[in-house]
Amino acid sequence: MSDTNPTNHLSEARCADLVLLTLAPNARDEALAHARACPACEERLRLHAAVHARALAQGVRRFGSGDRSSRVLALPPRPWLWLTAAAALVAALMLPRLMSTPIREPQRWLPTPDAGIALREGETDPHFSAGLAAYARRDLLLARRELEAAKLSGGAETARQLYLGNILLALDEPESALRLLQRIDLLNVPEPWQEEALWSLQLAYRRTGQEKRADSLLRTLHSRPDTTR
Amino acid sequence: MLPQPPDFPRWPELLARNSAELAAVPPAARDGARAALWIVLHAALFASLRAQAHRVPAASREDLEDIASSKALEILTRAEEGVWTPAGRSAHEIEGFVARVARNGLVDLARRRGREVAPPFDEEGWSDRLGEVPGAVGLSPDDRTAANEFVVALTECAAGLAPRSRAVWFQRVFLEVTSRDIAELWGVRPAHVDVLVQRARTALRACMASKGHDGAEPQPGLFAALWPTLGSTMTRAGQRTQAREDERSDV
Repeated sequence: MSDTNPTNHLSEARCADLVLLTLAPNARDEALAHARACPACEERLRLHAAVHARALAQGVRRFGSGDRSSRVLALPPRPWLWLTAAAALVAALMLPRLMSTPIREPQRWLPTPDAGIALREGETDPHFSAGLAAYARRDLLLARRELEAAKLSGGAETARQLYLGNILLALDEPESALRLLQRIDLLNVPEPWQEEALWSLQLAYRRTGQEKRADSLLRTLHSRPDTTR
Repeated sequence: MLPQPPDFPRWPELLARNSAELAAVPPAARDGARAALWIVLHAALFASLRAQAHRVPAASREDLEDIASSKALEILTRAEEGVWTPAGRSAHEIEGFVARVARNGLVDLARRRGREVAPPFDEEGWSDRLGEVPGAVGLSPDDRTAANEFVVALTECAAGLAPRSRAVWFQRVFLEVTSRDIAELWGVRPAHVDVLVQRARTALRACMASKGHDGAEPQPGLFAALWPTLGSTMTRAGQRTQAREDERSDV
């Protein structure tokens, strides 16, 4: 049953498509243009957007922190945002902070840019891009293959190791993950990757039976100041 | 298979994709995929509930949100157990399934309240009801001009805020998201959210006053103008990235 209607007013389903970003750009622009001129439709969209925002927060609480929503929303192309984010990762800025209190859970995912994103303009690797895209889809086996095939250097190589380590943990290969993660100077990794990466490392320690190292890292995570304040 | 009309919902495709991804991930590593599927189910169910809510006139938005949450979890569990899967089903079938689940939720609510409203007799009756857009009136040219001036001024003023302050202010003011939820989304403390919102409001008030909009009420079209850039990027990754960018430049 569809609740579409022929008058171009935004149906409930259309609003769901708008908040889930599932519309084609021209359909999205058309719907938003209508909402700007139609108070009732604008209010309907606002209601859906508000409910969706609350659901996202609820989802974070229910399923844990970390990048739970990038696949959900399938971000529209925002090259400036992702290029900035990727550049920040590659540059590995020094500004450690704890985003939230870590929660004990089996696995946390690293933030994933849209598929096909280049780490930096002029610095791309098809295997790396394909690996990230597969990771975003949680196709872990393909992501592993692609990331293992990628040839990178500098910050990009750090990023590759981070994602690969996270994947190996998810594939229940904690020894391999630990070897990889131990090579990285995690405190030089920028947020939002840093906290998740530190969490992965403590998880790798724990799963390889190194409880004291894991506990120590967990205490460090808990005790670090919240620099967002 | 019949071709889909241009305004047919697109979310069933995303739902099918996310469901397939959930099934492809090992159970121990499913949290991300669970969240992804749950959030699509939630949005789809809420839309379907709203479209059918005439059946329970007293159903509040909170009622519908509660039903959407619980039913989304129910479908998610069934998907994980393999009891239900959208694999091999058309978008129409997926939409119909979600609509039936929503309808059952409404019927349950109505039964609990003991005042179910009879559904329409036939398809035409449904069409009449679902096609209703109460209060959908356009703006007069004068209203539109005034609203546009306000929107342009506020957009300019909002551009002067740090990105995180701007987005947090938008979530609080336009989406009425609680400090706790905003804090959850941004990975900061609720008290910090309050400070950001208060500072943003003060800055915007001063900026709007300087543009001759002192004390003006928000205008129609404002939300729709701001939402594409401020409200639709609420991913944790996006927010955290932005938060990193403007950590030192909050208003």
